[in-house]
Amino acid sequence: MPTFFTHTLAIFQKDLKTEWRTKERLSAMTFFAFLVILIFNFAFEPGSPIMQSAAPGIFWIATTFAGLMGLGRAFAIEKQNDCLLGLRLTPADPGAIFLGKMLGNMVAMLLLEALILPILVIFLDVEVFAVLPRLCVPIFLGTLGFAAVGTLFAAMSMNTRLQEALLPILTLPVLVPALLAAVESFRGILEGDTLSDIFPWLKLGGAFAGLFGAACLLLFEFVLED
Amino acid sequence: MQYIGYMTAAYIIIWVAILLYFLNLAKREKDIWEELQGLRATLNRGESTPQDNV
Amino acid sequence: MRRPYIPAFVFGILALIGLAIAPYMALMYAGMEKDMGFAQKIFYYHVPSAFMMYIGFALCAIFSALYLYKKDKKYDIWALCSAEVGLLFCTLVLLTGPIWAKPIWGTWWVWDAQLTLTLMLWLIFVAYMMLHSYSEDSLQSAKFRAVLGIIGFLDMPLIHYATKLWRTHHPEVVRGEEFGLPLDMKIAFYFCVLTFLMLFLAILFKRVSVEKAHDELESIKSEIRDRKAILGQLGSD
Repeated sequence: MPTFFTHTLAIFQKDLKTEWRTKERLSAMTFFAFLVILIFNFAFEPGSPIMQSAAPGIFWIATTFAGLMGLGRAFAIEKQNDCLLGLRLTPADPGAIFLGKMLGNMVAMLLLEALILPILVIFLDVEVFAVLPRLCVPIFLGTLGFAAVGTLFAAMSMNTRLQEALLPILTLPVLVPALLAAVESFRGILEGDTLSDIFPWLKLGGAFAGLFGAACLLLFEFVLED
Repeated sequence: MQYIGYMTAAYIIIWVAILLYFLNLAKREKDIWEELQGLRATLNRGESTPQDNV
Repeated sequence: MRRPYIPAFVFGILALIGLAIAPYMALMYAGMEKDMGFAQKIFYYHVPSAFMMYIGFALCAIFSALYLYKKDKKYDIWALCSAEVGLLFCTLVLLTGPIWAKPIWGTWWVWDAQLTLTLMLWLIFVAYMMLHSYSEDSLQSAKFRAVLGIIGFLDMPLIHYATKLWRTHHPEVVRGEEFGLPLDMKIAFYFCVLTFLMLFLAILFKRVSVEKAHDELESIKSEIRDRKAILGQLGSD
């Protein structure tokens, strides 16, 4: 079992390192998320109460779409020069490859979220910082669920004719419960709910992350093999 | 006769959808069958004159 | 070669008999509901369709798991066909639901748990079909679809719980009424469920036989290609 985690860690570090060298994926994701938030301001009355009540939704829409873009890139990179084949030839267990990749995607998304929360505060004028510690819990659970399902589906969609274009089609319908949980918890916390008030939603977010984390870990083997 | 129009619409939709699916299925089967016939014909020709296949 | 596929034939005959009697059961035998009138009669087709949808998607998940475990092509064919037939009934549910909702709830669509779940399942299994169409390699496509079939099935309770938490609308009441039905309505309803089950099985077996034929055709074609390649090599030598 320890080798499993060493392998996971090695793949995770590899992804972080390649990302750190260029920072291209994270910067593209953040800029894209920023643009999504901006477009919402043009599409609706800026500064209106509607925008404030829609803030949790806008945050998660921006995160989801930027995240999907990042996931597509994460596997597009591996496809160049047959890196995925190289990964498969290593003694690492498919589960370890999945976990390493998933952690890499998750860290990228958490960084993205940390970067766009201030943007949300500036443009939509929502009081986020006072409730930040509480807010971290549903955001973490939502990101974990997203990264699990997204990593599995990204590996799948890269091997189809549509490539990245299929990724949102596969991911979004499955992701609905996790997104609902994340958005509703966010909304509740902004309205002053405590963690125990939104416990049903946290339970759902946790169940999604746990169930699909485990399922994707087991199923990744079949996606990877030839 | 309350809402009889809605009911008729729903029933017709169900019948039409199932019928369309069945027709589609029949067409798929026919296509496969025809392709198989074509292949068999080619194979028979191929057996008599093997050079044709090259 | 074109063997008659007996299960599809038998279930097809039973389904046809059922379908011929079903309108009588729904319209004449079962009494008229006071408030909903004829709109209530949509339920004799709508709810059995929903049952068949669940059976189709559940079968898809079971065969998907079997396929990944045993790696036998036949399970993949069954999984694909169950998903497709499940999707057909899912579409029927989504089409007839709003027609009932419009006169009764006054609106075509309500975001309640049952409706949202059905819509999400429809989307997931449309994605499943897309995965089938847009894959480059049939073996890989089979594995990917199996993975999605299992994931989609696991998602079902979560979507249901989520939408229930999100919107608690009136469906409980409506469904409660539906099953606290007077005996005549109940008999008509179960008759329709049985008829739809026959219809479901007939379509499924038929679909599987077509898919098996297709699979056979593909393997013959690839064999011919291989032989041609060998002959070509011999010719050039």
